[in-house]
Amino acid sequence: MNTAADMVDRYCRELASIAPTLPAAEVPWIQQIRNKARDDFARLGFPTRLQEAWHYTNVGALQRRFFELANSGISVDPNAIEPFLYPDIDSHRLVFINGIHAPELSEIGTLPDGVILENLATTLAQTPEQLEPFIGGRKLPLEHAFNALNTALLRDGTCLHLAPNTQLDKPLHLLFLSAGEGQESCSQPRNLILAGAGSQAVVLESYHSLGEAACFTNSCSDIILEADAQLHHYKLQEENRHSYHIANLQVQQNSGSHFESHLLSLGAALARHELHVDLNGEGAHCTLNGLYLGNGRQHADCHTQVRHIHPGTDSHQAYKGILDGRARGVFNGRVYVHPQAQQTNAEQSNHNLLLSANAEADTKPELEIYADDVRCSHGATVGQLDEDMIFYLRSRGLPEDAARGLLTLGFARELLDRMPLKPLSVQLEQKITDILSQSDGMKSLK
Amino acid sequence: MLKINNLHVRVGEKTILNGIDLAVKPGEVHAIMGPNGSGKSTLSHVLAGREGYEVIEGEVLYQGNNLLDLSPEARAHAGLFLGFQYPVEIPGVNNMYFLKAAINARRVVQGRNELDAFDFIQMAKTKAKLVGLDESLLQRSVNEGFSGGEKKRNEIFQMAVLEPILAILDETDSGLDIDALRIVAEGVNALRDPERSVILVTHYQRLLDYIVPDYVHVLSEGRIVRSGGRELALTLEEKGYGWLKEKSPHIAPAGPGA
Amino acid sequence: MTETNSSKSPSLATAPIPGQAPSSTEELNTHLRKDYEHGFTTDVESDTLPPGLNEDVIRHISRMKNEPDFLLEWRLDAYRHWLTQRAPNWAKLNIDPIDYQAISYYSAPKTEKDGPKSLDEVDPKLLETYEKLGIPLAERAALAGVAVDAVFDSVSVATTFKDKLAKEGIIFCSFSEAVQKHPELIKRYLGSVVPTTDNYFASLNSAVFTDGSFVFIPKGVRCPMELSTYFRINAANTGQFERTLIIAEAGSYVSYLEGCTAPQRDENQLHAAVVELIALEDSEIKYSTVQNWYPGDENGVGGIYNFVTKRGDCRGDHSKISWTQVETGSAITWKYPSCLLRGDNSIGEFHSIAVTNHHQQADTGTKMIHLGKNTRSTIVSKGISAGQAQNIYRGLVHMGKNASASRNHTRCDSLLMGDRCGAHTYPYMEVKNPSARVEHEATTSRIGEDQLFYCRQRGISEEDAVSMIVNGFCKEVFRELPMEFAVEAQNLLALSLEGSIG
Repeated sequence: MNTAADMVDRYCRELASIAPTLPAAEVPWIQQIRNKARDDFARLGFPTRLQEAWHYTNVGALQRRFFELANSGISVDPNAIEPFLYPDIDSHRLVFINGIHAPELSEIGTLPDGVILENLATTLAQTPEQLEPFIGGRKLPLEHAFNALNTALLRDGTCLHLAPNTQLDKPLHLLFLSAGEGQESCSQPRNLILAGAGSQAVVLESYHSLGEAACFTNSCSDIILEADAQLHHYKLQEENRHSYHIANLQVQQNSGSHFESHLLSLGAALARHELHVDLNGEGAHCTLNGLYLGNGRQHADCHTQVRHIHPGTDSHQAYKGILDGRARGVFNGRVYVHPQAQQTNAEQSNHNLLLSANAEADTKPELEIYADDVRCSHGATVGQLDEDMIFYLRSRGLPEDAARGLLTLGFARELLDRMPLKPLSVQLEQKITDILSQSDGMKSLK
Repeated sequence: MLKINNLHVRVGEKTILNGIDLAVKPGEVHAIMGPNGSGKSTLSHVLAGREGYEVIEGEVLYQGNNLLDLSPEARAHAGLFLGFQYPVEIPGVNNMYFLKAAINARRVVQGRNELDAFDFIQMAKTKAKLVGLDESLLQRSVNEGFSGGEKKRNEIFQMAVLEPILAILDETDSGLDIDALRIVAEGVNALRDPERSVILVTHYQRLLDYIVPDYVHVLSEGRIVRSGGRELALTLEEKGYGWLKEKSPHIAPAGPGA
Repeated sequence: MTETNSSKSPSLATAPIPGQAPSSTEELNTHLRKDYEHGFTTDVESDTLPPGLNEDVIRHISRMKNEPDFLLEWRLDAYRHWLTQRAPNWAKLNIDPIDYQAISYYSAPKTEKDGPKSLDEVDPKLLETYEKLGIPLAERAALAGVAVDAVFDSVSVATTFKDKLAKEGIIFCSFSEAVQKHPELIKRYLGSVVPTTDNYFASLNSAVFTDGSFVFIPKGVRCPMELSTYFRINAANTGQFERTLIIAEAGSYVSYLEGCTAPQRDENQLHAAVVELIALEDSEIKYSTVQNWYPGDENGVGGIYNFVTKRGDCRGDHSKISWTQVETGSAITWKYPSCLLRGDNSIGEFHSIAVTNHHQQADTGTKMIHLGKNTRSTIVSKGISAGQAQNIYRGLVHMGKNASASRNHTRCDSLLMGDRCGAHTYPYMEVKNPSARVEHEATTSRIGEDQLFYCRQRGISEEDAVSMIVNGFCKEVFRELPMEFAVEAQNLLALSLEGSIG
């Protein structure tokens, strides 16, 4: 009768049954955390549209089908991951199949002194105390159903630890593959990054599917940046169009630290990217950029929350959406300024292009400000290409669809251009061009 | 008319002015020059009563009274005018309305009748012509959307309308091209008067080609390190501020006059 | 256990039962029901109902007002729906639960016997406020609650204008009068913009409203004056559940003015008005509000809860509805004057100034629902927050599937004065048409110290400088108000913010 509740119940039973097989199952405090998270998930259930944070995103489809949690090891041919690699970028690489580390596909070079990089299952098994700063001492925001579900499993993912003043010598590529073999599988990675004072790293998370089976990715990343640490975080989501992608990235920033995020959401039937940043120390600043493309019946939702907790912090957010077919794009960005957080600078923008009669964009930038010495602004637009610009290009001899293609790509490129990792942005631009060239009226991009 | 004795000023933990002595008599034009960070703008702000500056020693007498006790508006009512280095934009507030409020606030304090709108407009138009301000700017919001030159000219226009006894012009020349500079200077010269004193705060000598000062003072590290006539500015231009460092760091006598 | 928790929750009762201290809600209800049984069936002359709400109360109201059956049924429908609803969960408002059974829902028009006999008896502080606001002398007495017949001949003034309006075919009267004289118009239009089921307070209002204003502008008529400018005094006592209905027929125009800059005497803590505007083809309705209900004292004690549903329906092509509001009063304001842009080429506008000081909370904004082709909307919101107040803009712009080539532009600016207040902006934009264009921009900042210093350096006192800067900040909206009103409103702003800086 009540399918949503039944489904929650089924996940909980499944979680309970595989609990003893999970890494560090015997460690009492980890066990406790998993149990509590499972209870939280049981209590919260899947979010509904009555909840303000899920007003524009309906996860009903997700709760009508069960995704197998206990997926047995699926072996993947090393050649199969070729298309997802970046030959122009020398990187460390961790590969996960359905959320489980695949050492045979991973490649970690020699790491600088003071840098620990391993898969989370290893950490759980060998040095679970390392997880303390993320999970132990800190109050997890488990009032979030998907976060609770991920925590209840807490099985594998990434653990990156940078000692003070160390620098990860190469970008770290975290490659997440969903592969269904006759079953609808589930990927629930947990990535933990602790960047010690003054340390630096570049991390790329990319999410892909092998094959066309529907998969459910529920990814959580927790990042702590100590004073003056710097992290550039890239994320590419291009799972197949039957899949569901829910991601939750939480960042704690101390004084003088800098977090830069670049998100590109291209795939999945439903993708929801949440990004929560707390600016806890003076001079902490974050830059959040995102671009989402939708076509067919895709639904892409970017949710950000930046909390300015301490005086003298800055944030800049720029998100863009390009929506075609019957796709729907959602942006909900919130800037919160704590009463103590004087001298806050916050900027937020969201711009959307609607390319077809049935596409939809919903945007909700929010400012919640309790301090007075602040400079906060936001802007949002939904619309189409500037007809004057199209005319200008046509008057220079470009056919109309070429002009539209060029301008649409230009709209997207503005965000790509902000990526410091150039070889990546070049490849991403190619991906975007490929997608846009499938749109009516932009065939010329091919 | 203005007498600054041994003025020490601190901002937060940092001491910016380290004992300024200066005396200005009616009708005199004093130029205060100095490299960036020497304390020129601090001096202007302290004289006008801006908050955030702590006077730790010394005094400022204006027309025989303690200036530092007065609120910024009371100083304005007493005839002190500050031409801002960065004139402030006040969106939605009409320039004329603003000035009328300012002039009448002063007249009320002085026990005079408020100017009615007609008399005020007549007067303002005359003054605008005098300083070469485009009349269309009168009806715009205070400084909003003005070019750099327009803002500075608007400052001089306000000075003309408010008829101060002591005008302090803080880097009025900064950001102006040579034509704008000349026009602003002409405005100031037109307002020279035996009863009106002017303190020109400037980084560059070139303003002094147009507004010839009676005295030039050089400020460095919060002190007046040299005082002289017009020629001091020329020497400075020729030799640069570095020249001051080479010279023995003796403290110049307090400014001329008493 | 016998103590009630009334010390915390605000008392909304206007007429407590004398000599009775109910010990529990249940008991109270039993008592009330009893009272009704006696009160209504036997004592029709009673001019104030005891507190409480049930179907009998509604029947009583309807009977007292001699309403046609359809209206009673309409009210009862609304009431039954209200019972199924839950009070809204206040997103950002701190509010104690309201006891709807403690409110008295009907009281006959006061005879003013209790009011002061002349201005000499009025609190001098109030008179001083009128002076500062520049309220015309003739209106002060009426605003202060001086019995009208003891004052000037406002009635004859009103009659003169009424005649003039009647000549044009314009109907402008109290809602009750319209129910008697023009039931067909009421039947046709009432609830057609704000249905009885719309929201909790609209349902409540529909069930129990007692009076309000009615305006009908016939085809092609341009109303020759600002309506209610000359009548605002008479409208002052319409009570806490006010109902306004304005209909502009094809090609007509009307500018309607609600409220008053002067602080008004009012003992009702809850105000839940409903305003419906209907604009047919080529017509235009301009609706201006100045809301200055009692905001409570500096410590946040007392003050009106103002929960209003205002909506305009641009039903015809090329129609236009514009809302302009200056909100300075009430402890809590919750209102979103909205436009349904159904006609092609129709236009909706919302211009708002909301000032909150001390412990006031305002949650206000608009909804622009674009349904027709080539529709346009403009939103300008200026929020000013001082003291410990919270000022919220919440707005929705919706571009429906058929809203081709429609446009919206929204500008929300917030000004903060003091480090304990808050300013929040929650815009919602939903766009389902690829040729529609929506633009939203918002800023939050405080009054710049450099702006204040600049003004003071020119000799303007700090208080005057604040008022000047704030009025400058709001200028775009003042421009939309009728001239003489704009001046009062500017003074009102300065008054509301008195003492908030320095």
